[in-house]
Amino acid sequence: MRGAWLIARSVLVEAVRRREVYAVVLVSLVLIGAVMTVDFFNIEGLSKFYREVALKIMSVATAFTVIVLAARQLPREFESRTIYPLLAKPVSRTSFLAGKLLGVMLAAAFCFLLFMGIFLVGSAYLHLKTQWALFGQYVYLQMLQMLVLATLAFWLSMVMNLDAAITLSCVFYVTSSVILSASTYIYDLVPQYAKALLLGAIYLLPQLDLFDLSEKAVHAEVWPPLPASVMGALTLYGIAFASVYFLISLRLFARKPL
Amino acid sequence: MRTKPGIPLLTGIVLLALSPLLAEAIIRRPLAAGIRSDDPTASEQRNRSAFAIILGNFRSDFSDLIFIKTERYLHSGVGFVPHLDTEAMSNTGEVKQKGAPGSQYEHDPATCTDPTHHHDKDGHDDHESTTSGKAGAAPSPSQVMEANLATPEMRETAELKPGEKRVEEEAEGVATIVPTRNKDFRGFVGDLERAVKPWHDPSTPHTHTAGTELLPWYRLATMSNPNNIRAYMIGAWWLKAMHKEKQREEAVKFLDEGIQNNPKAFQLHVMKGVILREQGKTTASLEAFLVAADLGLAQRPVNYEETTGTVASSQTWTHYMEDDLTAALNFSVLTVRNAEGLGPALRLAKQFQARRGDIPPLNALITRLQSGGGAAAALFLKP
Amino acid sequence: MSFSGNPQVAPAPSPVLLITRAVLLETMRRRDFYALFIFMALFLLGALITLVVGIPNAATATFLVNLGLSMAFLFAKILTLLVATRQIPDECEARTIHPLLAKPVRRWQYLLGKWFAATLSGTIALSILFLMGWAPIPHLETFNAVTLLQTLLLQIVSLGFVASLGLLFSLLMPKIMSVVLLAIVIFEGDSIAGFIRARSLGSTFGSVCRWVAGYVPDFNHLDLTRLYTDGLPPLGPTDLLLRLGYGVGLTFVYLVIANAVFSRRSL
Repeated sequence: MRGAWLIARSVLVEAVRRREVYAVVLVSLVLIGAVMTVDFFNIEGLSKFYREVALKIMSVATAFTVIVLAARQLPREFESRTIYPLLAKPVSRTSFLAGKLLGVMLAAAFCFLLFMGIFLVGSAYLHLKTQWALFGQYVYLQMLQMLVLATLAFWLSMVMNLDAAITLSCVFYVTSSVILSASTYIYDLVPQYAKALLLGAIYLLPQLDLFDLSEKAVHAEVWPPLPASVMGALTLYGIAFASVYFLISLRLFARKPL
Repeated sequence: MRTKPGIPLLTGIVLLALSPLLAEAIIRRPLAAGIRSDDPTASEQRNRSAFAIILGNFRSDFSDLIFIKTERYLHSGVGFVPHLDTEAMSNTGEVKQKGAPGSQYEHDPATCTDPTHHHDKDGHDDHESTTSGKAGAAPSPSQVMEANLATPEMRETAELKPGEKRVEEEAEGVATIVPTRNKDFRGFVGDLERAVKPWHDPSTPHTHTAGTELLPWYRLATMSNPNNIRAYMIGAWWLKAMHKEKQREEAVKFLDEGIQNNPKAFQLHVMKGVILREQGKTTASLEAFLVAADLGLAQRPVNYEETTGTVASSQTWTHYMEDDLTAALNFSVLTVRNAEGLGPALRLAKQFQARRGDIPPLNALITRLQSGGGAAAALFLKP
Repeated sequence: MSFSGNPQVAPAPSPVLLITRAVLLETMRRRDFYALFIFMALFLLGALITLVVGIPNAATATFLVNLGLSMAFLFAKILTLLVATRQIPDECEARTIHPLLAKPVRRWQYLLGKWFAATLSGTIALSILFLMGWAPIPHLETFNAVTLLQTLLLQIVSLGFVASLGLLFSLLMPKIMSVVLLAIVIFEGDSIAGFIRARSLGSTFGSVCRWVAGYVPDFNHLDLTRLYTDGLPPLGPTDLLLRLGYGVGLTFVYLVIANAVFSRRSL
């Protein structure tokens, strides 16, 4: 366990030291800041635009950071041959991979919490009300989504090269909502075998869009927080996919000749 | 081997320093694109298609993105299958939304600022048409112009302040993009989506929220594409619809920016005239209407066929532009009539007619002005 | 007496072409074709959905033509960006740049070879993706073929522009940063420039701000997709030359600056 924690810490330290996280945060802030300096016709209380733009930029930036960070962990260790001394120590491959995952998630949390802090400061500056319960659920579900993305990127980085793993993870992240909406629309139009395929795709692919509560957070004045049962179901759903991807990655990692 | 950059570097720096000249030259010659992409009818058709629904927020065009945003923002984020028909609204004037309380043209005669409307003393509106000459037969040009810009829901929510909401009394029965449980094959994934995304059962009344929250999107659309005339028009309409002097001033400023970026866009001058007229600035509004009429007449193809709505030989004139030009001509003539009397108004109308020949709405207006001062005077409210 | 030397010995290919070939071979062998395949799969998926759902009207067909072209151009730019930004950092990291530059290859030749290869990779991807995004969709409205040719020509110029900016950015900042920043410039450059121009309207320093906005690379100037899908005729010679001048001129400018930075860099 200690080995995993040490590895996680080294991933976090490296992510923070390389300043990439700060750079992503900074670039996102410049974008949001630039948009918010526009005078929107002297109308006060326009909250939805700020929420929508800020939350979208922040969640996309965090997702891409997580994908890049997670996808390059294993290939880089092999490429730079730093994995050999590491595995020569009494660290099992499971601990190694768990440590990597924990490190990536800590870096994601660091990045996202930086964003959220700034988002709240911005909201206070604009005198906007925050629906704390809904906002907390939004943050929690985003972290669940990052967990699924990180494990998916681990898996993909074990079966294809780094660029392809990053590209495919990004494509999957971006098109996730399309898959969900397309399935409902075309289901009635396709033959029976295709219906079965669609149903399989819906259950076998993680529907990342289910972890995105941003639309309710944008229109927060109308929507109450999600019931605990829904939050519980989403947690189980996310953990199930993350576990499967983690186990597949572990299996591939264990088989990889050093 | 290392080389000294020398002269190429100097050339590069000089060229870079001068590059804004080239950028400016390109901006000053905007592309004429927009005849299909900015056409509201085509926009509705493509955004109602299955592909648009499947793609959700994915759009390669900012105008289309705003179409989606408008639907979502007015319904507190709920994704309904797009269902508004602006084309039918502008052609028939019959715009009642399913479950909406009455026609969008019903309004208070006391606050009506449209010189083409007729309100009887007993308060009964007949919405005199200047195109057909028959009471209540068709919407007036200004109604059509407004219907081309704003859907009934936009009108209904225009006066809500940010954060305010209104619950409909009746269900509209319009289908949501995320289906109801009994129509969804996805089982618990569908349940989760209905719980996580803004969704409500179409058979129950839903909530409308302030449309003014959309204004930043229109602002952003014009920044992203300063030639997006429709974004300037609808943005100004939202501001006008708030019925506050401060916002009317903002609307005029916004339109002035649009005019600076698109000097030939006569529609912007019409809208500016309408708002100035609401502000009681008759001279300035007449000036704007006359500029609009002048620019519009210069651009209107001679062989425009109103019945088909398109011109085979021209790809730059739509029936929306025809509606806006008609509004510009009517507003110009009627403002002159109100300020200076029937004679000067008739002369102006005939000048317009002499410039561009046969324009049916203008002909109808001339006939009515010629038919007698009393009848024509009864058509329009004094400002 | 022979002026041409030994006729048996073929002239050595230019170092620029050698580097271009090496990059292309490497691109095809292991890296970016994966990304291209992924993008192609997306197009296939789109085509399948089109087949199932059907196209209800001409406006929707045109919308899909526009979407297909926009996606093809977007993905081609992403591929060019990825190829261009990784060339120099990867060579530096793997230290393969040292033996290469120890040979009689000038740095500008090295840079030009990399630029040419990145542009060519993007153009190959563009050709494939264009066919996938454009050909299968029924064209139910009228379109002008010459406008399409102009659109494609300017897109290829765009790719050269992306490649030159990618090389420059990768010389100035870490790889990931150069990818992120360049992506923002490519996809939001027009909005950033428009934002500066709109904010400067009526202000004291309006004309200065407008001038500054002109320095933001605006790829929208090189995008005629809307003109084509609106069924409009091609650009006149002046408009076309202005746009070509903008794309080619700035590509040259950024390559020259990249060369200056690269020449001063100790490896």
